[in-house]
Amino acid sequence: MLKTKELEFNYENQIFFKFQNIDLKSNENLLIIGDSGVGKTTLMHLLAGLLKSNSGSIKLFDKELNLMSPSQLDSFRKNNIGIVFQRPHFVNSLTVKENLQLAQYIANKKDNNRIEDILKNLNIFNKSNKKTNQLSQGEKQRASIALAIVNSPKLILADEPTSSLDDNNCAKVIELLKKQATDFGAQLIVITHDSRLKKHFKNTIEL
Amino acid sequence: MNIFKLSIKNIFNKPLSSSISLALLILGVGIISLLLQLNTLIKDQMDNNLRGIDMVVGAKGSPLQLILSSVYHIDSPTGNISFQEAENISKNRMVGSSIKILYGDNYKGYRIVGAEKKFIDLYKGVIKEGKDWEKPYEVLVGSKVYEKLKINLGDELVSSHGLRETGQSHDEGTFKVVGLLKPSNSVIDQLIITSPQSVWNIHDDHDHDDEDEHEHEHLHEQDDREITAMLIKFKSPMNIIQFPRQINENTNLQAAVPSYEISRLFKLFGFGIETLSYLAYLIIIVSGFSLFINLFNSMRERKYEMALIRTLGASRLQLSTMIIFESLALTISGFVLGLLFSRFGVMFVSSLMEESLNYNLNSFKILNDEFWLLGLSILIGMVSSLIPAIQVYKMNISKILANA
Repeated sequence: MLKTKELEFNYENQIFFKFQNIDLKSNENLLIIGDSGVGKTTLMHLLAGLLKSNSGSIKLFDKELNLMSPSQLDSFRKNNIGIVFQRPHFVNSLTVKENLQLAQYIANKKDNNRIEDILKNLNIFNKSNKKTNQLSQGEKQRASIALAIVNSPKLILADEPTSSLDDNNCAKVIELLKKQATDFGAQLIVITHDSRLKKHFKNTIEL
Repeated sequence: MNIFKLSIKNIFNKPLSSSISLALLILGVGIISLLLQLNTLIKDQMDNNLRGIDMVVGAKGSPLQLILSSVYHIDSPTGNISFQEAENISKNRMVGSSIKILYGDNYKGYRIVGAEKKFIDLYKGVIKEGKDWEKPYEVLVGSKVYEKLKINLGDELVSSHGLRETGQSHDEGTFKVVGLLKPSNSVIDQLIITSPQSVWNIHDDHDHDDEDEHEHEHLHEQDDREITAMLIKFKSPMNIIQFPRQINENTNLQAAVPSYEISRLFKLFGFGIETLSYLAYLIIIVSGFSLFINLFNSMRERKYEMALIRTLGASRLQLSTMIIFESLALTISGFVLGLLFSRFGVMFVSSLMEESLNYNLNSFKILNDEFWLLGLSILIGMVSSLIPAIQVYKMNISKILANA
């Protein structure tokens, strides 16, 4: 499903990253672990099509990301990838439900039942009509997971989802992510420096 | 949910900063539109009442005052002139037609004008109820007068001397309403019109109480009568250059040309109007700046939000469109509210004018110049959102998210 080969990236300020090859089969989850500064976020942005590598190849669902134009990447992303950010981001002028509707609109979809299902599954259905800045930290995190999966992505990319959580909540969130992925038929790739997550994944890559 | 709805939600999410730009725009557009409306309405009203009058002859004094009093009925007359002299002028071969009018009295502030019947035809006055006057002391009443004062056919009006409401009242000056005029959208709407004889009769009695003089008076009646002004239409427009000068130089009468005087008046007005509209354009430009600063700041505040929308798969163009929409929604509603504001302004000014001058102006039609204002509002919206929209378009989402 995901195959990277000799992936390299360098920023204008001469920071250079060379990533090891990744080969992930369908129906498997993956944990990518590494210390600060080894290019975790860069790798995630490469996988999400937010950055383009200088050389090498990324094959995701049999498509070569490095050969796509920016607008092709936009549309590939909205149809295939959901992203959970380290810090939850929302459109602040909208309610939780409207944020999800916006995500659907961007992907040319409209399905209020699915929004309802997801919010119920994440246990924040009663917050549907709240503005996102009225949510607690935990609710925000769950809402951002909802945003990542609302368009039924085949791949969920999670960037440091647990770094600021205590052990108890860390386990809860990662199990939640895995459950959502399974429930909605998506694969999960988590990128983190948090070694507590190792025990939750069979496949692990250390950068 | 769509991009347009999102723009609107964004505006309402920041009500304070949005409303400052909006208020400035409403003020700017409102003032300009108000000036345009008033200028057009007053000009229309003035031109409308000018019809067919090429020249006015009256007593010496200010030509503008002569025009304002005898054509627009808003100033005091310059004085009276002799009937005989006016008669001589009207017989001149250059004169196409002439109408003699005379003032004397008012009824509750509305002027009673003694005039030849041609006067009503000049303004295309049509009798709605009743009939023309036949005998002295019979009057026709203009539409605004009877509406305002609730006058009906057959009512008796006791006039007061002079043109102001406070003048002393004549015991003898009782007029009988024999006809009501249809609204004509001209000066006769605010006049009470009667035969010249009625006015002469009242003032003969009034001015000459002395019996002996009264005897004497009757012998010379034909010579002694006076009128206030005479409205003249020429046979050929060419006469407008020569004839007024002849009268002003060779007689002790004054001739004034309404179109000259009115354009002179508008030049005076125009200066004030121009200054005020520059100020209003300045306000509009400031509103553009404030809009730009708003958008620019909110771009910075909302950069993670923008990045998020992009990672959800929105294109650069969609995001830029959202910014431009936000700006246009504000400027277009500013334009609409500005027009509304100006219409209330017109209503207000009109009520002021009605009180002091018995004039009213009411129009809700959209002027061509106001379409220019719409264009200007859209332009301001586009220009002030241009830089923020380009910024969003060129935004590096990866960099923003990495620094989160």
